[in-house]
Amino acid sequence: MNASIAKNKNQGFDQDKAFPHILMAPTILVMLALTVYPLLFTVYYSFTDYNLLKSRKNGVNVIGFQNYVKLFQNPIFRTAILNTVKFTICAVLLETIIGLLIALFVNSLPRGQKVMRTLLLLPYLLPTVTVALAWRMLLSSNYGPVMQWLVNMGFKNLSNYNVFFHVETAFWAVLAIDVWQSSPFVFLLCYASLQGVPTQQYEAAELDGANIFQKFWYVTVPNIKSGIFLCLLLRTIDSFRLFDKVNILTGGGPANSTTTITQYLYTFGIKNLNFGFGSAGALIMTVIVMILAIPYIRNAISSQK
Amino acid sequence: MRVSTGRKVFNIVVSAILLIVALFPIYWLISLAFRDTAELSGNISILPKTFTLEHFVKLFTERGYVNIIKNSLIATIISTVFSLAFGLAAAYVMVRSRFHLWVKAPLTVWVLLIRILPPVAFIIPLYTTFSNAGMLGTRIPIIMACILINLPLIIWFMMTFFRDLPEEVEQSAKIDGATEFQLFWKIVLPLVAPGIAAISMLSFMYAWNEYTYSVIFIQKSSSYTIPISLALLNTEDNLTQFGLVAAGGVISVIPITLFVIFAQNYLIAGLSSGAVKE
Repeated sequence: MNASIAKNKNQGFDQDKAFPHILMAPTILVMLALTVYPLLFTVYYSFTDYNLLKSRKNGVNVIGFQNYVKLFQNPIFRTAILNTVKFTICAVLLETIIGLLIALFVNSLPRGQKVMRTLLLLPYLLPTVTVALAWRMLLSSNYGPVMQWLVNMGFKNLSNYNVFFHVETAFWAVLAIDVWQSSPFVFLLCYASLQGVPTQQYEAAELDGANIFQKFWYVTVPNIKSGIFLCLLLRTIDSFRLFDKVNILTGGGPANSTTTITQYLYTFGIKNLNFGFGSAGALIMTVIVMILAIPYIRNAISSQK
Repeated sequence: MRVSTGRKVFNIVVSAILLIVALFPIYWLISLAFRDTAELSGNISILPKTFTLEHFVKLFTERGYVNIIKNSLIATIISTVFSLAFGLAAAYVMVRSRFHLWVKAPLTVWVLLIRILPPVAFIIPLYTTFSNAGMLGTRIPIIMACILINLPLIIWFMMTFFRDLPEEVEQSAKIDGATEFQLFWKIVLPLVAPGIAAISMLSFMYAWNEYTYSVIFIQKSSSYTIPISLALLNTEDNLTQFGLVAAGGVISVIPITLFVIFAQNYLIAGLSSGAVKE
């Protein structure tokens, strides 16, 4: 080894100087090709009438803000934004509350915490497509056990009822499935923060005569605040881009009641090759997501300093 | 600490409810996969009455699942290997102050942004580029999409690991005459092996589960991956297809099951690292 080191030092080409450049080059190239370049073109396309088929004949024309005007005048796009916001708020709140409650419960168990943690985490680890299919079979109007159970409980009018075909239930069914799948993630993060709370703090609070609620409010909450904050942000970013469950379970229907922004763009901007229009919608969504993520970005960057 | 009887009962009841809610859907998927078609077309009971592998056999013989699994494995493994190689290298340079590169600061922000931005921000120009290059029938678009998803994650995750490593170790090795390459390969990487194990599994999982880019980039049935083929099975007349869909679902969870059984601690450490580190 010593011989090879000596040889390296004598080479005219300075390996150590080149080292950081060689290590960074692939990532920079990949980032330029897969993110910078497409993002710039999304911006450019959004101001054009680019359509993959039609533009072969007519070329691509810059049309200013027409796509944006069309989007904001489009009632389905407005519905999609509303649905996405409604879904994000409901999902994030429910998942955070349920996840936190489960974490507090598991953390209080005298034994079996590790087994519970692993088993309760499983829904989050499954592929989303698999989750959607499993729930479709559970909620199926043909012999799905959940529907059968509801009918046996006395909801006779629910026999042969398909939750995904009705405006009153489709949205909430998708939401419930998302809550089932993602609450475990919040649970895991909250549980990890709870494990980090020093026990001496609880003991000190007990000596001061604090009751269980005071202990929760003055000891637990301050210690896990950053964990909860992180959950809120990560779940917001994730819920906002909801697509796979919707696309598989309802395709956005019935009557657009489950259409999210991504589902809308998929149907009206990508599948029909209307790329200019789709790019404008994609850019609107990008801007909304960036605004939502500002606190996260600020926090994360200071943590990497 | 003594636990009262009332508390014990409460613990058992709540645990049971949580476990049933979390696990029953998974049980249902698995149990449907092994019941014969006759049972699935009648009134389906909670406990299975029959056991068969016919749905799995059918997936492999009639639905091309040998090829579909191969497609998923190839895209997942290649993208994970490349993302890891690129991401580990970049993350290391980005946290070490002795490397002076102006791109480090903007790249840190950019990596975080990419993790946040929705796939639709990139998908249309990538689609047209792959289409113009005649690559839509190949595996390249999916591999690229998985790299796009995983590279920022790996960089962000490994930056915290490298930062926790004291730089003195590297300095003393340098004094002993090691080059930067030897230092990185022989000393630094082995020290962050637990982090690499955790993020490899997460990357594998995200690539294996990928749906959004796949549904747009995959057009030929010969390049279907597992999530895409499952979604398509689902759109067929589903009354008689329960068995096939469930069997496909069971196949889709095999890798994650292996991770949970054999490397649970790494996987969970990876998933929860956000809460502890940030």
